[in-house]
Amino acid sequence: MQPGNNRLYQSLLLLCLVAQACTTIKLNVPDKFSANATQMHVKGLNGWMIKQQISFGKYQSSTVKRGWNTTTTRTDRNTQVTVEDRLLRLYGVNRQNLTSNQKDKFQYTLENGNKAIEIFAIEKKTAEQTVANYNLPILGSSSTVKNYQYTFSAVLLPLKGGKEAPWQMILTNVFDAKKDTARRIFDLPYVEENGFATNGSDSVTIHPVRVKEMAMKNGKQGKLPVQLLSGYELRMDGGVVAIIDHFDRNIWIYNDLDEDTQLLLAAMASALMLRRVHDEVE
Amino acid sequence: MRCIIITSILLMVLHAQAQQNHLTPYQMKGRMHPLSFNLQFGAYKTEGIRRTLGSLFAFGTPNLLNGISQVDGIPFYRKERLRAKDVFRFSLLHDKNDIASVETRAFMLKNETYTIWNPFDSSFMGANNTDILEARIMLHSDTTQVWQAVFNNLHGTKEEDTRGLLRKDSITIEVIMQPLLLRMKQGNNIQDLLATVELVYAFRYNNRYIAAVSVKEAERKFWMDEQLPSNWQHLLASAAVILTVRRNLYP
Repeated sequence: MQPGNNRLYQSLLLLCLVAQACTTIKLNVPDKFSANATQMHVKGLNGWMIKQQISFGKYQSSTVKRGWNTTTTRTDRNTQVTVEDRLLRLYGVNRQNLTSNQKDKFQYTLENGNKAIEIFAIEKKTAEQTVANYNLPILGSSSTVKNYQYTFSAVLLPLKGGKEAPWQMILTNVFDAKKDTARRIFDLPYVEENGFATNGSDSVTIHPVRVKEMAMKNGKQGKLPVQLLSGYELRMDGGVVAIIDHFDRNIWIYNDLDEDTQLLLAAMASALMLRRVHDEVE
Repeated sequence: MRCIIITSILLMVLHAQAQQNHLTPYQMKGRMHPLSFNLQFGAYKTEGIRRTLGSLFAFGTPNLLNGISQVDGIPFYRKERLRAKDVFRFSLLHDKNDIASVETRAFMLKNETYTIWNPFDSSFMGANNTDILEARIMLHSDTTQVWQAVFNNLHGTKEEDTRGLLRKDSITIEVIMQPLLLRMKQGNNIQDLLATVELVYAFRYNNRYIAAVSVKEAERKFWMDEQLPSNWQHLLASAAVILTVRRNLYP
């Protein structure tokens, strides 16, 4: 995506988010799934974050222990000389190639009354960007992301007293401007996304859900100008077993699953909701 | 049928991503300020990094047209020709034993032309640039164990991937710059299972990742398959040092 487009796109997204905050919209969950699943509203994601605890349905977390959410920015190796770099140099515009590293980590325990899972999670985002400082005050400065790598990694340890294989959960977003296919204003940047969880024998795949159509709280349907990341689907053996609605902060879990699997899916969904690092192109 | 295909593809992706867990991470220390030249990681340490005097300078070809073909600082023609090189050598120690001596020669020939009539011509995009790094890695001071290394487009000035090769006789190890999912720490604790995607120079042999080294200088790490023969480990560690120690030759 070109730098100019990027700014316009961000402004539109901001407008959409403001609209979202005012009207309270939620993800359209298919009737076929919602008829066989339980919807749980997640409490504790907003407000006082010291000694944060979340709860939804029969699930209750311990206090979420968080590390420092740090961001460091420095000049680093330039991995790619872009058209923008060349033009800025040609016209003598002051520019810098900066690499920023953002990290966050947290851990907590989620229980359903009978059993519990301990969750250790870390988020990391490394982004390389060109920052141009123009001499004209009206232009100020601009930045263009060349590439970024975002990872959310978590280990989920079922606590049952016996030996239980830990689950490893990974969600990655990788953006490379060289591979980007977005050319028009409303085109989304091309980001390689992968998500999965495995304990060595079983696996759950994580799929981002991007939609244009939303359901309002009053039941009416709304349409957004661009597709927004509105949640995630968790799938086992190709079938959807849980849905995470980021807009209305709901978790849907399929009913026809054993207690251990439901707890595992609840732990994954809650960990995804507790993330703080922004994982989209800025 | 569609479900089976999707599940198979997903399992392939899972396999490809989980595959890199066999690489053990090592933090690379040193070279964080101008007086700290040597690198240290795992049992490896560099010694005697020496650069030639010519590596500190770049030479350009003056072009009269560059000065006169502009109006109010806005150029309508500009040709930039620049030669820069980086020639250095070092020894690599493993548990204080000298295990490799490395000689490296990198050169950058910049030949970029801008014209207002054809601003995005390939010659402006670096198609005429030459960006090569060559190295000779001799293990255990044994002349029968000499590996040749070559890397292309390390400065990313061309519209092509950054790639390289390590070769001896018929054995070839591929190197490619790419993001890779790798473990953050070594150890057997539960939290050591955490992994992140890192932008690395990945070393592949027979389509299997055998080592990787960070591209970025912040929080540099080196990952290696510890099951490899010791000679291969020394070779990969030497190549990782080359890619870390090299200077930027593109202004």
